[in-house]
Amino acid sequence: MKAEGHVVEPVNFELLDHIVPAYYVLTTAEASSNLSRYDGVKFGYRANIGSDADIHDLYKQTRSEGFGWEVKRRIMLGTFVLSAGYFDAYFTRAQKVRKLLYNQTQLIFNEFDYIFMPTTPAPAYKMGEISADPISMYLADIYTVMANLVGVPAISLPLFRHSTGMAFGVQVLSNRSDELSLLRLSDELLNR
Amino acid sequence: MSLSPAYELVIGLEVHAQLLTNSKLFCGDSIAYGADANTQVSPVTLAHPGTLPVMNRQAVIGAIRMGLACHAEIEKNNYFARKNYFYPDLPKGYQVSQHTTPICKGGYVHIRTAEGERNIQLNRIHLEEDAGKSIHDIDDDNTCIDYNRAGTALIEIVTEPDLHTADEVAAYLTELRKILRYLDVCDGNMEEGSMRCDVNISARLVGSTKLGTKVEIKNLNSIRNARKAVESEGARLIAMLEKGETIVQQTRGFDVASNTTFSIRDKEDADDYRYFADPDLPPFALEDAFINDIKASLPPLQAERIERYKNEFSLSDYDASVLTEEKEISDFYESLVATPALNKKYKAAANWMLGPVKSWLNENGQGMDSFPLTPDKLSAIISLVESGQLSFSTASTLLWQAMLKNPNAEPLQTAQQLNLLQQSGKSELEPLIDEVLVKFADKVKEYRKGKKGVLSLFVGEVMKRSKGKADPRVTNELLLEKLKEN
Amino acid sequence: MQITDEMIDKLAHLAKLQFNDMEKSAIKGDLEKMIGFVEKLNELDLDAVEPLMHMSESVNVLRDDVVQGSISREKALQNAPDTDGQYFRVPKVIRK
Repeated sequence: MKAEGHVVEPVNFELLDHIVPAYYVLTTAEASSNLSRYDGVKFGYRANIGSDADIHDLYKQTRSEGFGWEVKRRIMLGTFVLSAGYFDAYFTRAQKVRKLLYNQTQLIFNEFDYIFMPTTPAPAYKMGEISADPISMYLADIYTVMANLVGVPAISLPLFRHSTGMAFGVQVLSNRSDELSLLRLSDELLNR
Repeated sequence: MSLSPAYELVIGLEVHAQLLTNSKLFCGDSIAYGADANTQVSPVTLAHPGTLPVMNRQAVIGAIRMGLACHAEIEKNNYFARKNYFYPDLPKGYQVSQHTTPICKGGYVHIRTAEGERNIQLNRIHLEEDAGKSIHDIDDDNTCIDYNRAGTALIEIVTEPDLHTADEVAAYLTELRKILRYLDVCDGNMEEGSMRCDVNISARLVGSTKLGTKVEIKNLNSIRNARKAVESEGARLIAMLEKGETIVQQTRGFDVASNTTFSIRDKEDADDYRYFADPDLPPFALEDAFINDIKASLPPLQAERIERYKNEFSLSDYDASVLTEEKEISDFYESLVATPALNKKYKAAANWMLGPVKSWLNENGQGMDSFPLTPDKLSAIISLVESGQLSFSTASTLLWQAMLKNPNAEPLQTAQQLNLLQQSGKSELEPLIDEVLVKFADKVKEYRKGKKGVLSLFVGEVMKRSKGKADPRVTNELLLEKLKEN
Repeated sequence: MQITDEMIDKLAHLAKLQFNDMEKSAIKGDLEKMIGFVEKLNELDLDAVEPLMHMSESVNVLRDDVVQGSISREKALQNAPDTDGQYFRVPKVIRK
């Protein structure tokens, strides 16, 4: 791209290690609340409860049977970070980190039109390979969650192949409301 | 009920008022009362996945109107929070409310009781959405849920712990409802639940500055019940303190049949609602111009109307106060005095409003909007009396009944058809007067000896003979003349 | 951070989830790891930072007070797990 006259420079992003923790605090908090509507009353799954069961049994059985393990642990983490006594230490803190990330991203966009980074830190792992450990799974999201956290558009372009033969993408981010130029650039990169 | 003078009550009120919007706070469902269950629901109300809320501008305006009328400070930077808890009538599993940034802060409501006048300090007024209705008594095995009400815009008006007696509670609620109605912010109909009241109450030794353990009484659906609940719970709390018993923090209900409160649940483990800013709703910032426009559009409230009625219409403080007690009555009075036929007979109009009109409202248990006569018709009736064509007693009984039965008729024609118009002509009255003076010749002698009181007897007899149509004033004058002549 | 059984019980109660003994020890372990992971945020000095609460820059997204968008009762109840044709039904709730 340099050859075509673009200015391409590496930038240092100090908060890289904090993106995923901030993301998981904020998104699990929202998810714990967003998923409350799945209570077996208005729509969706309802557990088969006994005739002497009360409303709490209905809620608990329905939600425990209906949600998978990953969803449950996210709801538990989200409930924890919002609960009395932990809200400021976890949730508000993550919102502050989001502010720092937002500011840092805007600094880059003051000078550059796009940010290039990997889509994932490694090629796709095998099914079931590491899902028992939530943290290593979450860390695979390190590059993709940044756009969500700071609220900018991003696109993953399947431009490369890893030595193992697996597809390996590059991710491009642009500033807010710059979707059109991001799509134009993507089109150009995919067709060269 | 007299309470031990050693103790005082400390009371705070939370009033939920449904805003008089057309649609809900965050979606376009109608909020009309009395619709069939689950017919005023949208995917947004039912919390279907993927639906998003959009806020109703009119609800914001309603909350600000109430805040300004209560002298509150309007918060410029607002956002909504989620209050998370599970209950079947709460479709999303959270209620959207303003936890951290109430749209109105502080302010007060001025009340009058037998003890005097004072301001009840408000803590806040905030916007939130209503829940649906859980109905427990139509199905033996199930609770039935109607989501029509879910999402209706409410304001919650919260006082400081600043009230001390059942009288103050009743006066505050009466005044609050009056303001809500004057502003067209809420219809204040407690029976239909558009205004609901929770009472926080505690007791302490007079002179103590520490608040006692409080009890919350939920869902009081009339001012009368709020008063009775405070009386009964206040007495219970003080009796417990006198006996040295420990008061437990509780949520209680009020049983209308026995006039007592009962425990619903102990508040031992405080609920954890996990409030956080609702990510689905962008914040809203209020500009001065927006607030000033609302301020300029506020209608005069009762106090202003009382002053105006005293100054412009020369009414007494009492008449002005009673006329403005309800906005609808006050509005009707203003239309009435504006009719040309009334010819500025302000006091007469006030007497009619406070007499026959109010009697009709009370007897029929109706509001002013159900009153059958228009201001024009009432004005025509009043002018018949004022011009001496009809006595007040005839107008307010015979003609009144006829007009209420047939509100579209013309009062003058009706009076003619019923043959009610007064005979004020000399030619019609003289023969009757002569007849009476002859019949009561002995009384005439008494009159001439100085017993002037018998004059009213003559007037009454003439009236009787005219079947009530004689004009008493003219009759009086003619009698005086006749008695002088002989 | 040490996660106790009581904390798991309280969170599960708030979230309306239930765990058997085996699941409980699993969720406890997972939660401990997850909380340990997000505690990386404690390294940063954030005293002077304002929290970013809303992602969208738009403010005052208000709509006119117009009635629209309701669906029929039949449609509203179509997905309900239990209904009598008029109401959504749940097991008897003791009055709150």
